[in-house]
Amino acid sequence: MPSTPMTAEPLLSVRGLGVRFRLPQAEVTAVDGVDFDLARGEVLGIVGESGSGKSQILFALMGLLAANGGASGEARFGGRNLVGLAEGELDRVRGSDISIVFQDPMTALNPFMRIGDQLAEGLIVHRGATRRSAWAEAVAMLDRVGIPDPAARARAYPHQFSGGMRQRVMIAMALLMRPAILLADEPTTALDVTIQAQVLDLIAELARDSGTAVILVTHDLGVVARACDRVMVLYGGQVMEAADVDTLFAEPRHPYTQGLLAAMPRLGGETAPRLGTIPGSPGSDAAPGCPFAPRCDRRLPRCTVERPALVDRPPRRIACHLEAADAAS
Amino acid sequence: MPLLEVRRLDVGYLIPGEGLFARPRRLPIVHDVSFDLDPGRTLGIVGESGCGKSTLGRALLRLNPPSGGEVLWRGTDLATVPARALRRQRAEFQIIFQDPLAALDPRMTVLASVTRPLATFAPGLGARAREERGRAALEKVGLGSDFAGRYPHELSGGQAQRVGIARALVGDPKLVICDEPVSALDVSVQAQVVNLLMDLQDQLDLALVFISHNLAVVRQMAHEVMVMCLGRVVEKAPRGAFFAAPLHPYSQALMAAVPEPDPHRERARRGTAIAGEVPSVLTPPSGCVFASRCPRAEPRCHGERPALRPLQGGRSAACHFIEGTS
Repeated sequence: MPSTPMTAEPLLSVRGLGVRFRLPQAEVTAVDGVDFDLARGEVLGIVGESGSGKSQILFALMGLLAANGGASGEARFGGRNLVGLAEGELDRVRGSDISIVFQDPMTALNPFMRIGDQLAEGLIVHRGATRRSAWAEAVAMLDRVGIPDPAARARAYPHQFSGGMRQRVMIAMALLMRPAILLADEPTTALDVTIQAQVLDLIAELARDSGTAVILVTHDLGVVARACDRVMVLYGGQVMEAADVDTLFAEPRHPYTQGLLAAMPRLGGETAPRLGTIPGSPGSDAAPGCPFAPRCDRRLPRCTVERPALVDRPPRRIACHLEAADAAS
Repeated sequence: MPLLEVRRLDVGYLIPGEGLFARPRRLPIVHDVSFDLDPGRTLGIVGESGCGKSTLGRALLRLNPPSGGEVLWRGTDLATVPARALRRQRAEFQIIFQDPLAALDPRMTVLASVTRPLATFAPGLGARAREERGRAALEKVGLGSDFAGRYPHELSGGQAQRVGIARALVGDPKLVICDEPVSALDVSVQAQVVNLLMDLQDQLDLALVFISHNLAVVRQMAHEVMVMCLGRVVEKAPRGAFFAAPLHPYSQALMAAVPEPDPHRERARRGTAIAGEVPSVLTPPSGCVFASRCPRAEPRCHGERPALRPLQGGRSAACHFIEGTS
């Protein structure tokens, strides 16, 4: 399958996105120069290990960074730059144009409010709906995300729902405002595999049917394969490789992507006597070169001193000095 | 004689009774589990949250007392071993936990944590000998001597789990229970720890009970697989046979739900997830534990619990649709 051509105006266009945090001793860069486009109805996976900055990208888009954090760069959405947008304007974007679903559905719900009231609230506040019509819409959306007996369940409280059902409620809440973009931060990590499969299928189906664009942040390449159209591999706050899912999984080019795939145990095929490994662990060493260089077994002398640019090598984008070395030879 | 023999083990927890003055009652969690384990072998126990896999793992070490059945260690029922002697004997069976940082005392150095069990297992050992054994254990898990003086907050997740493994190994155990030991680790680090456990098993002829919700990791590690659902074993089989063709509908559903890094396969599987939720342990079904979610369930499945029946090739399964050999 060829990469998605960027012919039509993308829904969201991110250029040079950066996130930095001020700590007492130093400044830390969490996201560094991230570029991507998102089209209507597309599911983009952002995959990375701890500290890769994958969640911070979502928080930066939503203006939800911690108080000591700051975003830079551009995120064009509907003629506005989401980065640095005033709080009042952000409030209008959040909830109605862009919604977010978090990893832990329990902490994101108000334990003292009935589920139906929590869902209806957004419609009443943002759209001036009447209580009655908002409630009816809430029940219809619970039905849509697969909550059995939705009229009765809308009258229940969060603790009366299982983890999987709560995550469906969160997705229902996020979708109720018919957002153009749904941001999902590890939405299935806390769920059992059978429930994870249900929720991922639901997200893919919603994107297909309603044209909602989705950014799904995960540490699991399996989740990407199940639910996403395109994928961006992040390491140390930088994009290492990005492509459509078929290309990335069939022909990973970046040593980090290759290493990640080799490290995953599989259900099918031969079992290797040992898994492939990447030495070391994801670290936060601020170095001038490629963030993956300290763990890369194919690093060149220049990798530790010079940061590789993210270049277009259709059908992929890749940031690796080996690419340039290969192209030259 | 197998190292570990588990015979019809039941485990439960005491919970408050209903009503203010009611006696506490026992909530059964694990029912009727039997298996043998030999040195150098790994039993993988898989299942979703609440299936009783961790409760079972702890009961094997008598960290939870069983409410029925037996756990035989080299032929001796652990229930008959006096508490003092049991404490010593625990050198032979150890456990490593899911959250490696939570399992370490933040105020103890790595070496102090690793050698701490020796105070119980080998109280006669001098400080010097103890330190030597601690450093040797750290060496085994790939942590050089510069780690000995570090504190847990100076460790990455993978390093902390290696310390947890070193602490389990310091008393020269024969059996290690691994309770989701790689679930909290990054993918690239998870592979290192899985390989380490396999290497250590080969070198030390360790028996492992590997508890995980991740079927792919279990396929990599285990010689035999035991699938649990709501506290009961629904299928048990050698690794190769199990992953080639799981027999129980629950095993099949679990396998189909694991997302694999293969977009072609995953697209084909979209929309095939089984519907429904795991029933509560507080209100277990009277029939088959999987009946409420099983695509093949018939009235009989809801009314009558299928027994775990032996099948060809050293397998067994508990399903009315699968014919036993006897």
